[in-house]
Amino acid sequence: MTIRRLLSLARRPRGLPLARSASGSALAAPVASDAPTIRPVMIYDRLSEAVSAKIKRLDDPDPRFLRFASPHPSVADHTDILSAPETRVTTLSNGLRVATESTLASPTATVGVWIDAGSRFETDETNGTAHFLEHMIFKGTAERTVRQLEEEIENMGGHLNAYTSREQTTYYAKVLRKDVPNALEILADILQNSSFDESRINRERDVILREMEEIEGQAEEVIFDHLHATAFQYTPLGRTILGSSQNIKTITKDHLKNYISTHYTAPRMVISAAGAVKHEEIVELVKKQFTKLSADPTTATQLVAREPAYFTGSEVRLIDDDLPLAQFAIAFAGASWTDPDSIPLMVMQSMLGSWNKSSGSGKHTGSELVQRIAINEIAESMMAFNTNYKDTGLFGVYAMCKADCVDDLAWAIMQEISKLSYRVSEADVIRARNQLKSSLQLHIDGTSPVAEDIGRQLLTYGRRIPVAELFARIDAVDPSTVKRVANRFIFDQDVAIAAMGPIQKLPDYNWFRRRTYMLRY
Amino acid sequence: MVLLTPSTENGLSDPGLLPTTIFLTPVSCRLRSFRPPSPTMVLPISIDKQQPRSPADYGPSDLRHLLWSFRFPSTDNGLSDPGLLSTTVLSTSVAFYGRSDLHQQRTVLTFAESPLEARTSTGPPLEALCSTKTLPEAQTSAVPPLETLCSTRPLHEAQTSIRLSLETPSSTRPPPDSRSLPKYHPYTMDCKSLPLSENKPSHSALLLPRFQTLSWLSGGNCSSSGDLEDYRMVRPCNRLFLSKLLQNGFNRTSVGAVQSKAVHCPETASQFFSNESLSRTMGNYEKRFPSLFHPIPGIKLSPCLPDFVEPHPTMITTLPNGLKIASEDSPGPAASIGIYVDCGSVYEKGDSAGATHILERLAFKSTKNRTRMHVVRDIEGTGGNAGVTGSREQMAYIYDTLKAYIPEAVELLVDCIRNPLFLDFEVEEQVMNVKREIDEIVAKDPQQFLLESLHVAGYSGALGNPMMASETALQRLDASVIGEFYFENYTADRIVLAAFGVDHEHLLGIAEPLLYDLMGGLPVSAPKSTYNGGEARFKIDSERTHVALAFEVPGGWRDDKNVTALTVLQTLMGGGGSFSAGGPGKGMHSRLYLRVLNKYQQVHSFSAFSSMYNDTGLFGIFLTTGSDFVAKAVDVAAAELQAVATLGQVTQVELDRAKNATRSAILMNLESRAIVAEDIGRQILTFGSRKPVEHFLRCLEELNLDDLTVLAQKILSSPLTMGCLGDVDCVPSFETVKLRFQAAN
Repeated sequence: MTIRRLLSLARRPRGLPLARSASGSALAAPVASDAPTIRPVMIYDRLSEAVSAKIKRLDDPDPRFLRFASPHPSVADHTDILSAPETRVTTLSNGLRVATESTLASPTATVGVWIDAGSRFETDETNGTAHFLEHMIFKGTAERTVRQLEEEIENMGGHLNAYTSREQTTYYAKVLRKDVPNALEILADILQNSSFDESRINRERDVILREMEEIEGQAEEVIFDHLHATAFQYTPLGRTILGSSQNIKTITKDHLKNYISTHYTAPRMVISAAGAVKHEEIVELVKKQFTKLSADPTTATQLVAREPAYFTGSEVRLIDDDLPLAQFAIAFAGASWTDPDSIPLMVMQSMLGSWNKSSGSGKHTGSELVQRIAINEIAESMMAFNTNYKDTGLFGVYAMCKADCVDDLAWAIMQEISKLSYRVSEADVIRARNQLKSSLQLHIDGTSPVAEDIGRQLLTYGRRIPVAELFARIDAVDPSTVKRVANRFIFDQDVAIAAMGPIQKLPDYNWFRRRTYMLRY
Repeated sequence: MVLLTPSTENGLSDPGLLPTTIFLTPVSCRLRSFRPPSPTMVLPISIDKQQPRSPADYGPSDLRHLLWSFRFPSTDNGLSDPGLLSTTVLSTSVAFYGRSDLHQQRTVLTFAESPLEARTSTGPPLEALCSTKTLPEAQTSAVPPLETLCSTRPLHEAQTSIRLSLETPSSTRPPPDSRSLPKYHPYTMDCKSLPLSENKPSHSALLLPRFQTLSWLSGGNCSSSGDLEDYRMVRPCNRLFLSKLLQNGFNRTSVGAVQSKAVHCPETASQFFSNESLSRTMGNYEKRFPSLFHPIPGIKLSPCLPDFVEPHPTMITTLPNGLKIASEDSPGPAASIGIYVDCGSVYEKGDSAGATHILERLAFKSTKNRTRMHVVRDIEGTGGNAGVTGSREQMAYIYDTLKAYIPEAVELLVDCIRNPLFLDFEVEEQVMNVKREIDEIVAKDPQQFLLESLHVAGYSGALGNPMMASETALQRLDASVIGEFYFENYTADRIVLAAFGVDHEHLLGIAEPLLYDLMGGLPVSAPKSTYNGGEARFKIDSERTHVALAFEVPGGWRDDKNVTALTVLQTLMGGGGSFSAGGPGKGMHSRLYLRVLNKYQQVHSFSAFSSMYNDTGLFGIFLTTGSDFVAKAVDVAAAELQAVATLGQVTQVELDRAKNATRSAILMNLESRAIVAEDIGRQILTFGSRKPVEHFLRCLEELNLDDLTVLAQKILSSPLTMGCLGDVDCVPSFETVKLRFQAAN
C-alpha cells in the first residue's frame, strides 16, 4: 500500500498542485516558483522533493493568524458581558412568585409556569401521575374544549409545551408580543380549570403507553431510569417519571385532581416570563387570573425532608447479547442543587467531557478520558453527567461500546474518574471552566431558555443567580478544589452501576468499588 | 502546598519509611461500607454530619475507636499493618516532610486551645519553622496523654487549623542544565491561622486526636527545615515525585497570582482562591463560599441593561478584493460568527464530483499555521461551538462563542477557511468515514436519502449533482482533487463573513488584516440546471415504504414573494409524524394532520416539504406507511396536492392560521443568534444585501387565497418527480401518478 502510494506520488508529473493551493495569499504563493527550476531526474529525488515541499507547508506559520487564539487555555475577562436585563421578582400574597426579564425590542415572548413538583412527590401507587397530568392538562377545561384550545393556540401561531422531570413540572407558551395576555390566560385556565374528561383520560392512556414504548427504544433513557432505580432504591427518586404501565392503566381522575390540589400550590409555583413583557403588566394579569390556587404553605423542601432520597451503592445488569452495543452508566452520589460543591462538580463534568465517534475533534480533545477512548477506539460514545436534585445528585459517566471493549472502557473511565482526587492540572481546570461558562451562556439563546432559566433557578436556588456571581463561583474552582471535591464525592465512595446489552465483560461491582481510589499518590 | 505520602505508591508498605515521610489523611473518617439495600437504612457514621458540642461527644474511647478504624489508603491493598496504620494518620491540613530516620530528632505537634499552641519536643522549635506571628507559643514539654487532652480541652474552641506551605524561593530553583538531582535549599513554612466555619467543628475535633496520634504513636520526626539533601533517603521513585511536587509549587503560585488578577471582579474573587494549597482535602471553596441559596457577600454586580435596547442595524463592508464582512451587534453575552461561501455541489464537474461532501468533512482540520490538534484545542480552550454545513449551493462555517473570545474565533475561522492543507492522511480518513456512512444513511435517515435522489432524478445539470459522494467518486477523490476544487471556488468575491453580536468596527479590525489579501477568482457564472422530473426507486428490505412526490417551484429564493407564499403553503399543508412530542402549536390543525393523519391510522408520517435554491426549488409531500397501504397513501397525497391547487378548497381560516404560524416561526427563529448570523450570511450570498425581516412580513401580509392557489397550480404544472424507498413493488408506477396530475391540469 505504502509502496503504491509512493509510486503514484512519483508518477504525478505536473508536480504539486497543493503547494500552490496551500494559500491563496500572495505571501505564500512564491513557494513553488522559488524552488529550483532544474527537474530532478531520479524518481527518488522527485519523491523527496515532494515530501519536503509538504513538510515545508507546515513549517512556515504566518504570525498574522496566530495573534489571538491559543491552544493553552487562559482566563479571559468577561466583564462586559455580565450585564443582563434585570430579573424582577414579585411575590404575591398567596406565595406565588412572578419573575420576568424584559427585552422589549424582541417581537416574541415566552410565559410559563414552573412548578416545584414532579415524579418524586408521588407514591408507589400513584407513580406516573405527574406525567399523566402533563398530558391531560392540554385536554380541555371547563370553558374550552380540546379543539378550541388547540385552535386558539395554533391560530395565534403560538406554541404550548410542557415537560415533567423528577422534581419539576413546566408548562410554557411561546407567542408573539401581542398574544402574551391571551397565553397567560390559557395557562391559568388549564392549570386551574382542567376538566379531566374520563373518556379523554382513557384515550390518553394509550398515548402514554405508546410514548413509553418510544422511550424504551431510547437506550440512554432506559439506562438512566435503571440507574436511578438502583442508586435511589426504595426512595422516591428511584421511581421513573412515566410510571409503570400498570399504574398508567389504573390512574384515575381522582389521582390527577388530588395531585393538582396537593402539589400545584401557589408557594411552589413560579410564573416566569421573558421577551416582550412588562413586569407590572404580567403581575397584574397573574393577580387577576391565578386566583384559585391553594396557598398551602408546605414547601417541596419539607416534603423532601419527610421522604429523603438515599444513595445506595449497587448495580443492575441487563445482559442481552442481541443488542449490538453494550452500554453502562457509573454514578456516584453527587451534590444537591444548593451545595456550593455543585459548581466544582460541573467543572469536573466538563473535565471528563463527552465524545462520540462522529465528533470532529477526535483524539485531540483535552480531556484525558476522551483521549484514552478515542485513541484506543474503545467506545462509540461517552458522556459525563452531573444531575442535581434537592437533597442529592448523581455524578458519573455514561458510555456505549462494542462488546469486546467493555472492560477496557470501564478501566479507562474509572482510572480517569479516580484520578480527579489525585492529579489535576491547572490547564485542564481552566479549560473546563471556560467550557462550562461558555456552554451555560451559549445555551441561553432566545426567550424560552431565559424563561426556563429564571423558573428553574427560582425553584432550586430561591433566587436568580447573577451571571457575575456564577462566573465568580466557577472561576474560584482550582485544582485543589477539584481534588477536595473529588475526595468528597469519589474517593472511596460507593458507586451505582446500570448496564445493558452484551456486558459479560463488564467487571464486577467490587472491581469498580476498588477503583474509586488508587494505591498511590 | 501540602505534600502527600508517596511511600506506598507501589502498594507495599514500608515500615522504615512510611511514618516519617509525608502524611495526609482525608477530611472525614471513612467508616462507610457497602450499604445493604434495605428500606430501613442506617446512615453510616459520618463525622462531617455530626455536630459535637463538647469533647464528651467524642469520648476518648470512641475516639480511639475511630482512629483505629480509619481506612487509610495505604492499607487498602490488604496489607494492613496495625502498627503503621495509626502512624500514618495525620492532620488534614498540615503536611510534613520528615526525614526517614526514626531515631534522630523528635518533633511533636499538638493541637491545643485556640489560638494555636504548638509543642515541640527535642528538635528545632516550631518557631523556626513557621512565621511566628500566627504561632504565638512553641513550648517544649512532654505530651499529655490522650485522655487528658480529650477530656479537658473544649474542642470546639480549638477551631483553628494551620496550613503550612512549602515554598522554595525562585532564586534557589536548580539550574535547568544541572544533571544531578536537583538540590533543594531549606524552605520556609508559612503558617496561617484560619478560622474554620462555625458549622464545621468536626474538623477541629478531629484534628486533635490526629495530632496526638502523630506524636503519641509514631514519635515521628517532622523536621521541616532540614536540607533536602536528606531526601535521598526517600525512595527513588518518591524522590522524583517529591521534586515534581516541589517544582509544581513554583508554577502554582505564579498561576494563581495571574488568575486572580484576570478574573472579572478581582476583589471578590481573589478571596476565594487558594494559592497555597495543593491538597486534595483542603480546597478552599467549600469553607468560604455560601450555599447557592445565598449570594456571595460583597460581589460586585454589573449594572442591569435597560429593558429596551434599540436593535442594531446590519452593517456591510465590502473589501477591495470583493469579500463582504457583515455584522449586527446585540446586547447578549454571546456572539455567532460565520463564514459563508458560494460553493457547493453545483460547482462540481467531472473529476471533482463529491468534493463538497469531503470538503465539508475537512473543515477545521490542519491549516498552514495550525495542526488539527492545535485547532481542536483552540476551540476547546474557549468553549466555543464550531460547525460546518455544506449544501448544494452554499457552505457555512459557524462558530458560536462568548463575546470575550471574538478575536480568537474570527482568527481561527479565517485560518481554517483560508489556509487549509488537506493533508493526505486527513483526506483519506474522511473518505473512509464517508464510505462507512453512506451505507448507514438509508437506514438512518430515509427522508434525507430520498430528498437526495429526488434531486438526482429531477434535475439535469448542476442541481442534479449528488451531494453525497458516490462510491466511484470516493475512489477518485484525493487531496489534490479537493485542493483544486477548493482553490477554484474559495475566492474573495464568493465569501461572506457574517456575525451577530459583534460590533462592526471591532470585527473589521480583526478580520480585515486577515482577509484583505485573499485573491479573487475569475468571475464564475452560476451553473445552470434544468428541471425535467423523473423517478427514483430503491428496493430494500423494510417493513415501511417511503414515498416522495415533488414538483418544481419556479423562481427559487430570489423570487421572494414566491418564497414567502411557498412557506405559507408548506405550513398550511403541514403534517408530521403520527406520533410526535409537543403540545398544541406544532401544526395539529394543518391540513395534512386533519385530513390524513387523523383519518388513516396506517400512515406513519405524512408531511409537506420544500427544498429551495437560488433560482429554483422543489416542493412536495413525503410520506411513510406500511407497504400494504402505499397505493392508497400515494393516492391521498396526490389528492391533497391537487386540493390546494383548486380554488375554493382552502378556507380563509386555514390561510390565516398558516400565515400566523409562519410569521411567528420566522420571528421565533430570529431569536436565536446562530440563525440571525446565518440569515445575514446567506441573504448576502443570495441577494447581495440583507433584506429586513419586515420585508418578508409584508409579503406575508399581502398574501391572499388566490395567490396561494395560483402558486400551487404553477407548481403542479411542472413535471412530477417521484422517489420511493422500501418495498416499492406496491408503489403505483410513475406513469400512473404522472397521468393523474396531467389529467387534472
